[in-house]
Amino acid sequence: MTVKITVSLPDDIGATLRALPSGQVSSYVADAVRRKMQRESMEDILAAAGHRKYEHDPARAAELIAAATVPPEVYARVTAQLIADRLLPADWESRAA
Amino acid sequence: MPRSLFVLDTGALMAYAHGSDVIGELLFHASDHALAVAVPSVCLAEAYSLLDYDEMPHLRLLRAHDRVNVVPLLVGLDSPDEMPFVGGMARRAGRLGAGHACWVAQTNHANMYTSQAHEIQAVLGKDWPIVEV
Repeated sequence: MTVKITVSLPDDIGATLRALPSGQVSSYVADAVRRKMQRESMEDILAAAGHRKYEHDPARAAELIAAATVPPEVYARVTAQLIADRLLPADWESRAA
Repeated sequence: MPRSLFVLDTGALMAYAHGSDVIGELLFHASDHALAVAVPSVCLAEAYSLLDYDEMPHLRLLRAHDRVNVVPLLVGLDSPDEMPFVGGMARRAGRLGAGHACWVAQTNHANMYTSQAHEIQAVLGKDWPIVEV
């Protein structure tokens, strides 16, 4: 289900939306609004659990994401060992492909 | 739900419920950048077993968020059966929740947030990205 809504936007945002390929404006806007809703929802959840207010910080987010990445060689080595130890199925690599 | 980049072990869920900055910051940035966070169901049950009753609603709120993925254990004799492998990892780690967390981290190629890094390292090794809370 969808609904049509008319909004007034700053010129720069309007220009960005007008530059999108035909048919993609609605999905672009919906995605942006949904992200903001998810962020606001998480802020409420964290506040309820006594957390401080966190700030939008792309650099800090990039640090967290970079630190979270499992290096391919580590993943391969760990997987091989887990298979050898029978902690992963023997056909694990073909399942994951 | 896309692949999760972060896994929350039992201790990380406790830390969230207790207002820990490390976990709060992670959850905020994950939602801000539309990244998924995995909560293994066994770790969730362990967290419930350890929290006071008036702290439990915090877990329910977290579970309801679109970017939080509570990961069940798949069981089935004729379909993917994760039980033997989660059990094996739990035996190596020394705790059921740690076993499920390691399984979820390995299957998602994901970073682990935990209060028991030694348990996770017993399964995934010292080079796996682990954040101790």
